[in-house]
Amino acid sequence: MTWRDESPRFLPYEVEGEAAGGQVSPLLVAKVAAHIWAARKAYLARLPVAEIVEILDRAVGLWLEAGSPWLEAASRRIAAVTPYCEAMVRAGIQRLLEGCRKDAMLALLEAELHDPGVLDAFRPRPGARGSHRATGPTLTTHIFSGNVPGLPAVSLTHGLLVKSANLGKPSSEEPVFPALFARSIAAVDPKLAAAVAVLPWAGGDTAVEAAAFKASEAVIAYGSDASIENIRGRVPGGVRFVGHGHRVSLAVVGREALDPGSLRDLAERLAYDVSLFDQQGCVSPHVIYVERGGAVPPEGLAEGLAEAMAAFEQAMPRGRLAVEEASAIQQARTEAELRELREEPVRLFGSPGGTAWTVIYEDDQTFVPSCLNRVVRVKPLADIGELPNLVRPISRYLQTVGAAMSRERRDRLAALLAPLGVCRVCSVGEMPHPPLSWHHDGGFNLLPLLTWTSIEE
Amino acid sequence: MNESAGDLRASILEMIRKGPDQARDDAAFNALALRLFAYQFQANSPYRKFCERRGRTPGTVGSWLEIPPVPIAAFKELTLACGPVEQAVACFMTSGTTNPEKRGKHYHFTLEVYDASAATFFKANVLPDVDRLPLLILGSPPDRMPNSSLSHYLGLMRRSFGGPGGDFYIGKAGLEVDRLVADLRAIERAGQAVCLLGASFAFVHFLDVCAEKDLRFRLARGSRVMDTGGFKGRSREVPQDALYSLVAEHLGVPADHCVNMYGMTELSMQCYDSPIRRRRLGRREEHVMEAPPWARTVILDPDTLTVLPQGEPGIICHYDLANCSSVVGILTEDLGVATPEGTRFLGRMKGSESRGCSVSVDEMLAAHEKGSA
Repeated sequence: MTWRDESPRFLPYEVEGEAAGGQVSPLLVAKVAAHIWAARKAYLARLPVAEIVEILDRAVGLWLEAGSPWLEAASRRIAAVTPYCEAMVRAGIQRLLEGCRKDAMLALLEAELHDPGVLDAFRPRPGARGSHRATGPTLTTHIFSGNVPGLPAVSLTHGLLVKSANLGKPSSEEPVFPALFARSIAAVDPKLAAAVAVLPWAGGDTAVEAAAFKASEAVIAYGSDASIENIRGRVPGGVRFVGHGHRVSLAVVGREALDPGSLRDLAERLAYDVSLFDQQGCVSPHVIYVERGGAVPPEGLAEGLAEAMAAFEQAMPRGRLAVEEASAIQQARTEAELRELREEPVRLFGSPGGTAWTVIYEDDQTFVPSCLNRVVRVKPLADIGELPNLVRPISRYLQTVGAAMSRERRDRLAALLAPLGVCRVCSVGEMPHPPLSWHHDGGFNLLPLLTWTSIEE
Repeated sequence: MNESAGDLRASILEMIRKGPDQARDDAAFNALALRLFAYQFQANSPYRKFCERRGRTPGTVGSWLEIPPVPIAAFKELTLACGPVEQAVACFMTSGTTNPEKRGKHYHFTLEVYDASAATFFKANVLPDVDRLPLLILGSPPDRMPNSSLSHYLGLMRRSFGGPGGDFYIGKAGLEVDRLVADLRAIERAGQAVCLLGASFAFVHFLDVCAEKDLRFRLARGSRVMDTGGFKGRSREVPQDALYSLVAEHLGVPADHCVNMYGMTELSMQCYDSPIRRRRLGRREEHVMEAPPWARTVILDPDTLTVLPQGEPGIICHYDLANCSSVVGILTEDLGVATPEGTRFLGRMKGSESRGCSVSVDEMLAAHEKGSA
């Protein structure tokens, strides 16, 4: 065990004492920012990006070793403070961090910069005259959300790859992971970790956030549309802002994928996409559209999905819900059941004795957002060509589409949905795990943080 | 054993006639609830299907708590009537605030039980100390709103307990403020105690006018107010205590004479939060709703729909024996918590909010509304 205590903070040694037990004040934030700013200048800013990649890879490696105490502690403590079950937290973080290894970081750098060396020195760029260098923010403030434990690793990786000092505010719902991740970096390279601080303050504390934003050259925020807009309005002009607000995802099953022999595997993949992190991720599907004309009808897939949801629940039980969340599921079930009793083309499949999972099959094709927590609708399609009109009303929220179909038809589907703002088409069973180099919400990850300097020949 | 509706009604009326203060007889309640369930199960086919899906039939249900309660949404989708609806003497409909096309319908084949239940418990909660008072009703008369259970209720109370001088004050053009003000002035001068009753939003509207025009009445001692029905976006939202302090300020009726009634189109009984009754019975808890002895209110775990112990918040569910021609168990969309003296109402169920960057139905609806507004 390499961390000092169980507190969900990770602060420069010099201010750790001041922060102990007290309210986070604007002054404390300013001091923390000054320390990580200085630590960056002294070390991180001079480190070649290839070395940063090596250090981060070793830190991530600590989490992925067999019996890792880091993963163990994070899973246990996150399960204690969030509604999520421990097995799901462990599996989710492990899978997420497996996607943050050296190869993934290099792929991200390559995809966005072509030559990562532009972060270290002036370099020629293909197709551009002169030489060019990219500089990251001196300091980036991250406002994390708590819905997907482990996700702050991605945001911190972005900040560190562009050699920024990083001030992270964990979500009050999941305050554990960010500090533990920072500590694992410190276990590998304390000098690099000195440019990172994780300080929990009350979200929306305008005085504290004003101090943080004032010290920052970039702010990255995750959360609801309302909180993103709120934060955006308070970020000073000239400070870069990247906000990841509300998004919804869906899955599409082509008729060629509806084979009785592989139905079970397909259903298991879909159940995984729906169930992981209790559908709270922006990558979690709300609706599964299923083409008619396959060997298994859409209703048959719904039935198979129900079985797979039940099996997933056995392995990784859905989390505890607030009264209103459970009531929302009861209302959705009631609505479906009543239509079923009226002999409308609706079938309700639900976990007996509780709200653990719900599958609603209905002929009605309208995209209906889920009340979440493992409630998914299965709806028929005559052809994938119908999809654009069905999802147009929610296009501003669209994000990931999981596709089970032939490669040719998947490409056609992507072409149909790209103009509507879908930013990712992936296989079913992979929806919760976008690669590090994905276009999160349709944009780049590192480029929005960078400032370019060019020398003209 | 197919019992006749008439025999059942007679048994329920007998229980109601024992009055609001009868000792709570759980065995008698259970026996009557099971008889009612057996009748409703055979007389109402959508309800029978609903119960069969849950494996609950008169043969398997041994306690009233096992009778499947019907979510109120079902009154919009299904015909929950124990008889041909053409023979109904009344069809009370929900206001349809969310969707005017879909209004819940509650058919009554006789109003004898409804009226006995409503009048008996109204008297106990609002007028336990007087036979009649002038009733100034901030509501519509039943002939104008034949499908409103509240109008029927208000008309019933006027017939049963209204003294000379009362009237309805909502007409075609809405709340008739000027007439109400003039009548209140006359009553104030005469030193006559009165009872004002009606929808909470109408009180808010009237009290807003009073505040605007700086109108203050000093109604005689013994005057009282009964409001009901929440606000449903028709006036600004006012918490109960704030409403009653406005009542005290502008009408001169103290909060200990202000009664809140909780009623629903889908029920035949009403619950009350009545300081007048509490004082008479020496009870202490404030802001709790009491159901009459011919009904039981339970709080259900929203996840499992099983009964929660006192103190734990959940969904309010009523078993109302006066609901003899529809369904005895009603699952509301209200949240509450059971206390030793009744039910504390915690508000209507809202949809849930997502915890992160996904988006739930309600958030998306809210965004659409904001966008189109």
